[in-house]
Order: sequence, then structure tokens, then C-alpha cells
Amino acid sequence: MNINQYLALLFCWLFMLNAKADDANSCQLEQQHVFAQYDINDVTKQGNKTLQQLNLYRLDNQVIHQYEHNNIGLWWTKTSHNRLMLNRFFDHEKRVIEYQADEITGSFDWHTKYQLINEEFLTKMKLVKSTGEACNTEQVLTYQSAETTYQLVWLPNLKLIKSLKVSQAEQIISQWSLVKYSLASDKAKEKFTQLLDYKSTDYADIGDNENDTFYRR
Amino acid sequence: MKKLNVLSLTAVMMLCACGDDGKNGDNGVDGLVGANGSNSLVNQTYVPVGNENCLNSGIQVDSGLDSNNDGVLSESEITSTNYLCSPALTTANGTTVENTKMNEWFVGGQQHISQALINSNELNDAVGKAKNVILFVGDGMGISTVTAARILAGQQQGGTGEEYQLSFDKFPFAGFAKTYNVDAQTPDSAGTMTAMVTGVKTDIGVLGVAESVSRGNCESVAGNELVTALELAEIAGKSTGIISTARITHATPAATYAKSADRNWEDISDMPNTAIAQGCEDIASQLINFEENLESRFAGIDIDGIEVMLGGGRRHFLPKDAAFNSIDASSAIEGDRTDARDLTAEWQATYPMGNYVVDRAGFSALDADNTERVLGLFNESHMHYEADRHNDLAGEPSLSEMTSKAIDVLDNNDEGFFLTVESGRIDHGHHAGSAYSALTDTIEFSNAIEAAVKNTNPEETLIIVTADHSHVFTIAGYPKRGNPILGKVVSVGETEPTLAKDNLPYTTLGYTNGRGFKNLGEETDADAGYAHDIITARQDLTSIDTSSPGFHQEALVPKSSETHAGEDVGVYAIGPGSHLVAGTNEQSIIFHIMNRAASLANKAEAVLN
Ligand SMILES: [Zn+2]
Repeated sequence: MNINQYLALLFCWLFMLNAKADDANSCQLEQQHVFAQYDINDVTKQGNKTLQQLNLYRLDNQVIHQYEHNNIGLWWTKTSHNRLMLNRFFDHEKRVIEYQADEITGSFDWHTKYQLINEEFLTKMKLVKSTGEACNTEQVLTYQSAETTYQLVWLPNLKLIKSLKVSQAEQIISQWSLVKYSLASDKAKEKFTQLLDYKSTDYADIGDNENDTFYRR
Repeated sequence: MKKLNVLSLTAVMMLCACGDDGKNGDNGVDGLVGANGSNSLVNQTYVPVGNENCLNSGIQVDSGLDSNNDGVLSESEITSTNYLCSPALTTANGTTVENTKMNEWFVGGQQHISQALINSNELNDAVGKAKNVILFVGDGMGISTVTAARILAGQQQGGTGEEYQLSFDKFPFAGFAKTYNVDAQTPDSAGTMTAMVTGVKTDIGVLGVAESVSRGNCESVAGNELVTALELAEIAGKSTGIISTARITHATPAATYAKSADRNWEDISDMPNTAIAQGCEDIASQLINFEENLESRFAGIDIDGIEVMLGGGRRHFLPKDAAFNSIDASSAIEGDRTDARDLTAEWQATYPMGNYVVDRAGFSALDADNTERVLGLFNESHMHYEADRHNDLAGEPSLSEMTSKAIDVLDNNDEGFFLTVESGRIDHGHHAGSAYSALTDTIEFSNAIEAAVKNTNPEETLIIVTADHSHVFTIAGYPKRGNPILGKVVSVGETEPTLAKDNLPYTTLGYTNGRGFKNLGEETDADAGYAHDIITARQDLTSIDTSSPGFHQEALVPKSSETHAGEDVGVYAIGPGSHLVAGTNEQSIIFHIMNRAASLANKAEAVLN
């Protein structure tokens, strides 16, 4: 291989690397506007099985967790100062109750809200295999504690759980699976826009709204 | 020296109030033979304990002439009756007297009386003597809150606490205010503050309008607008100021400047479309347009607007557009206004010499002597609880700092000033069921009052301290003297917590209703409790530190938020006209006391004519 061939190859290789990075970057952006739906199967200690559907909405620095068919949802905002603000919304009544942002710093963990799994925990997990490329990258990760085994299929560039199995003594106690998702989602944008029109009240003001039947409970 | 003599004399007089001396009465002298042959007779009768003339028993001495010469002094012949009373037990011997007189409670009581006499001798009853008036309102600061805050403040300084005095505990005059609203037994801040600043009681939930208004009905405001002390002071040429740790558009501060059929119409997005269509103006807009609005109500006046406005509530002044976010915005979009108006910019355009500040640094940088006016909005919503103030991103001034600075700006006017200072979050601490927050905010409120006393001339400044209403907050059980006020009840003579019938310890402080028990450790934000479930079942507090900032007291009746209470609140006063604060009165008389002391209406009238 002469020097020109070598340079051409190197250039080509660099170009490919760059293209891959661009590809990943595009989904890095798209994953910021996400609607994703999960089936969550839990087994209680008594052996009872429950199935719940969780909707996850993401719009930049805002996240919503809402169980399907549940009137109440949790709406988190990460502010420009890396603080977290929690609002609760009530779809039937079109109402929002809000905190001041700095008021929940004690339980601050943005990743748990954003991607449903703690970032620290992710880094502790063992990578078993990785398949696919860029936006389609899938990682199989495991973690074994004294009593519990976690098996995760992770979409690192989308920051989404594909599936999660939690077992104890060879019994599955919780199983998450991604039913559907859309990137750059209009559904997510619509949801957040809709919330802006709800009537909002500070938690601190509930006590002074004695005439509001919404708070009498 | 002279004072001491007077004191000891008064002490002796008080002790001997039942008898003129301690001796038995002398035997009566036989009557002399008179010209008409009648003898003078004297009868002595023992009177038992409880007699109205001799409480400790004694001798009744009747005397008169034996007109019918029968040798007996009959009822009709008595011309004079005297009593020789047995001495009170305290005067029985010298040691007992000394024990009482030397007792520190006794000495303290005597000193208090002589000071009270001096105070009443020095009363200044001249109408209009008060150049300045400051009305301090502790939102939700009922009597039990004052007592518990006093004990906590004393204990924080190493004392047993009960004997400590908050700044306004030292004021010479006090009375009680009946807080009910015209249509509500237990009131809210809107109706109560309207009563205090206009002299007229009104409905719950409405601001600056009389009771004929119908809450939430814009059209019913017209014709029911009341005039407030702040407006009269403004017309009279005084400087005016409003401070609150709540949003500056919240009920208590808003009652001084706004007329609204609903306290919740803080900005245009909070109003029903019909109210907007009918021409009602939101509360934030009324604050910014205060000068223009007042001038249009009173033809011919030319006022200069409110000089000092300090508090929270930026969201009601900014458009609903992230581009207008302040440096410490907590929401993705800080502003709530749906009419695209930026009221902070409008205010700056109207008052080019005014300073708009949003944080502690901007506030501290103000040179009060050269500041014409200031609008300080330190939080998107309410300012922080005092205990949680360190958590603010951009930094907030304390209530004492705001009070001192406000006075320094306002006293640049030789005509004097009218200032209202609200500690707005005592109420919120209680609503959240957190005695720690409510009490630490009350202590800071007391500090702010102390700062005002120090920064003003007592001969020309009337300071009134009160609450708008109380809370269902109690000091219970029989804790021993000096028992930590935030602790569990430990009985007199004991060292371990006393157990209730359910064999569990219990706290001295508690709530009748609300969200109940929470153990949030070092959390200094009382509102964090709202994210947790309501718990009103009895808890085992044995291993819980109930004095930690994050502990929320147990409650009996589950409610989404603890409620106000309906009993009277205290009113405390110092300065010219303060002696009129006495007895149990309707809350609305507070206006009348301020009005008389500073001659607000007369001076305003003089300007108008
Ligand atoms: Zn309240």
C-alpha cells in the first residue's frame, strides 16, 4: 500500500466514523421528543399478577409519566439550573398543581424520570453484547445483586429501555417491555402544549382555596 | 431612688388592701350623759371570713345615740359603722411579707405596673401625631403561634423559652381582633386584610370591595370599591410601601392596592373570559397601574405612586414566553400572562428612576438614600420559607432586610410614610402542617418588627402588629417548663416522654386537621410534604426527632391542606395612637386607629379640596 492509498483509506475510514456519529447525533436529537409506551407486568409477593401501561412523554427538559387510563400524571421539568420541578396534572379537571423547582432537590434524579432507569445503575451493569448501529444500537446488560437479577435490553442512543426483567430466586417479579415508541413525536408536543392551558395552582395555595371544590377532598 | 420608694409603698398598700391596720379594735367608751339624757352606745359584732367589708373576717363597730334610752343600740339608732378587719395572711409576720415582696415575679409585676403608669402618663393622643404608620401582618399568626414561636426563639438562645419576649411582646398596648368575614365564621386573608386597611368588613375571598360584591362576578365590583389606608396616605403625599414574603399579588398585600371580585385573579390568565370582557383588571396589572387608576378615581389629584414593592410573584408580571424568563426561573416558562404584556418593563418605562431587582445582590446594591422607588420580585411564586431561604438560586433578602431597606427608602419623604409588611408564609407553613416552618418564619417576622422599631422614631411612628386569622394549631399536654417546644411531651419531674392512652409518645404541638405526620428529616421546605400521602393515624414517634425541620406534626382530621381557625387574634401596638389598641374589637377598627393616629383621611381630604 503506497502512501496515497493509505491516506485514501484513512480518509474513508474517518469519513465513515463521522457519518456514524452524525447518524447517532440525529437520533440523539430525536430521542428528546419521544412518546413511548410500556407494558409493566409485576408479580406481588403473594403471587398476584398486575399489568399496567405506562406512557412516557419527553420534550427536551420535560418529562411526563402517566399510567394509561389514569386521570393523574406526573410532569417533571429540569430547569436551566439543573433543578427539578414536579407538577401533578389532572386530565378530567384540566388542572395542574405545582411545586417550586428547588423544593424537591432531596430526591433529585433526572435520569430516573427521563429514561426510567438510574444512570449510575446503568454504569454498574455488565455489557453482555451489543448489536446494531447508531440509532439502532441495542445493548444487553445484566446485573446480579445478592438476591436479585436484572436483565436489560437498552437502546443507548434513544435512551429508552427496550425490555427489563427483574427476577428473584428464578421467579420473574417485574417485566417491562416497550410496546411502541415514536421519535420526534408530535404526540409528545401536543401533550405538553395541552398542559400549558390547564389551570395551575401552587401546592402552597391549596389551603387558601377553600371555595374550590377541586381541593375539598 | 425615688421610683423605688414609690414602688415599695405601692407594694405595702396592695398587701394591706383588706384592713387599715392589724390591731383589734378598742373597746367602746361608755357614753357620756348628754343634755337630752341620751347615752352614746357602741356595739361590736364579729363578722366572718368572706364579709364584703372584711374579707379575712373582723369586727363591725356600730355607734349612735340611745334615743329611746332603752340601753340597747337598735338598728334605727346607728349613725356610724366602722370595721376593724383581721389582717391578710401575708401581713401576718415580717418574713412572709419579705418573701412575697422579694419574689422576682412580684418585683417584675411591680416594675411592669410602674412602666405601664409611665406609658399611660406619656400617652400621646393628638390626632395626626403619627407621621409614619407601619402595619405588620403575620399571615395565620394566631395566639398559639405567637406563644410557640416565643418559646422556640427563647430556647434557640439557650433559655427555657416560656419567659422570652418576641419584639412585639414588648409593645405597651395590645388587644384582640374578631376576625370573621361578613359571610364566613372562619375567614381568609382577603376579607380580613380588606377590613384592616379600609375599616370595612367584607366577604371571604374578595379584595378592596364591600360585601355587596358577589365573589367571582366582575360586574358586581362597580360601586363597591373601598378606599384603603395606603391610598389615603398616597393622596396625602406620604410615601407608601408594600412588602410580602408571599407573591406581591397574594391576598394580604393585594388588599392594600387592588379591587377584585376574586383574590385569585392575580394575572389575566387566572380570570374568566367574562370578567376580562367586562373590563375587570387583574391584580398584577392593578399594582403596576396603581397611580393611574387612583388618579382616575379621584379627579384632580396628582400622586406619585407606590415607592416600595418587595415580594414574590414574578410569574404574574411576565408574558407566557420562555424568552422573558428571569435568571432564576424555576418553570420552563416562568411567566403566566396570556396578554403578552411584560409588566416589569411597563413599570420601568413609567418610572425611569425606578429600580427593578430580582435577587439579593440587586437588592443589596440599592443605595436607599438615593433610591426613589423599587420593585423587587424575588421569586417566580412565593418567596422561600425563612428556614429554606438558603436554597434559593439567585438569593433572596430576608424579611428584616426588606423591612429595613424599605424604611430607609420611604423616610426620604418629609411627609412620612405608610408601609405594610406581611410575613406571608407563616400561613403556608401551617397549611403544610409544618410547625417548624411556621415558627421560624414567625421569629423572622419578629426580627423584622424589631428592625422597624430600631429604624424609626417612636414619637412619630405608629407600629401595629397583628394577624389576619389563626390556624388549627395547638400547644397540648402538660410538658414541663423548658421542654423543647418542637419535642415530645415530657411531664413535670420526668425525663422520658409521657405516653398517651395508646402507649405512644406525643408532641406538644399538633394540628386539628391537615396532611398529618411526615418525617422528612432535614428538609427545610415545608411544601415537600405535599408530595407525600396524608397520614392521620397515630404514629410511633419514639425514635423520631420531632424537632427536625422536616418533621410534620400529627393531625386528627385528614385534609388536603391544614385550615385556618376562627378564634380572635392579638393586636400589638407602639407609638402615637397605640393606646387605642385595647379590648376585644372587630378587626376593622385597625384602620380607624391608623387613620386617627396619622390623620390619613383628613390630610387626603385637604388635598382633594
Ligand atoms: Zn391561609
